[in-house]
Amino acid sequence: MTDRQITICLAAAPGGHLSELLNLRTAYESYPHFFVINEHTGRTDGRLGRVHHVPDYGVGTRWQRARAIVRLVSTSVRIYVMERPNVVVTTGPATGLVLAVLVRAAGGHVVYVECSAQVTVPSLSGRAFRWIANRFYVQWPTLLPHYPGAEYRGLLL
Amino acid sequence: MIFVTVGTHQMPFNRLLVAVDAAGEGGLLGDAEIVVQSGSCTHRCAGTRQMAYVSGEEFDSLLDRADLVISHGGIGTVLTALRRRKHVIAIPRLQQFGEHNNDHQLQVCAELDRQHALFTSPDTADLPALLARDIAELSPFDPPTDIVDAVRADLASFARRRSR
Repeated sequence: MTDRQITICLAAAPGGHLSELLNLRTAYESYPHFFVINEHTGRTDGRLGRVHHVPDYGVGTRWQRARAIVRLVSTSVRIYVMERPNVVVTTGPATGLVLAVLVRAAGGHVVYVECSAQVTVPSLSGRAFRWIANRFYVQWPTLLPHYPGAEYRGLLL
Repeated sequence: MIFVTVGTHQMPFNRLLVAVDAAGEGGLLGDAEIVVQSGSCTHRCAGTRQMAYVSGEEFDSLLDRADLVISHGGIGTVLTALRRRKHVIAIPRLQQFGEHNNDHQLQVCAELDRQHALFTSPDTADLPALLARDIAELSPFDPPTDIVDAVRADLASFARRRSR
């Protein structure tokens, strides 16, 4: 019996979101995987291996952000076609949202972890991923009432 | 030893250091050795060993030696101290004072306060009162630790389902 391998897309915004995602390393590293990170001014850590960048949709004028979101969609589709992931693991915010929708639509698996900075108030991305993720983790028990079906298994830090 | 730390965030947090100084002058810190990691702060604390930044190893060593940790409300710092069962007083960096871009440290501190894991107030004027609190009021912070295992098991389960 051949193992039909899973290919994992690891998506996060640079900074705190990415650091927390990397703390899941022992869970994902034995599978083929690649990173999707928003474009940013710093250098991307070369140790991450295969990295795709998607536009930073959070800065600039309303027009610039709208155009960035359109590019986010087209870039995500391109990455999906190129890499064919069947799993998305993400700590948000919306970096992997489009890829997650595509993966889910194709019968894949999506894991979302709400960032540790969200203690009492759900994030916007959490509210979106609630409908897309197969597994949803919060890092503070105070968020459980906001996300029915979510699990609390402590902190990723 | 009292270890005061403001973390490595690029914005300063002089408000905490000024309060620590005032507490020291008021005799509230006893004759303890005081070590300050001051980051981008410009305030110089009197009678302390003060450094802007320390290496990871030195930070761990200072934390180990500390009897009391007076910290900003950064989850990384606070969690590291709580895991070592330290007596922690945390003052959250606040956006209104230019100490951070948002107020998530306030949320973190409030929740840890609710869990009796540390002493906190957003107002540094409360530092003397926080210093006077009884350590017996605190409970060990023991959240679950199996999120990585949970994700690992979940991915393995999906991989197995794919291979059938």
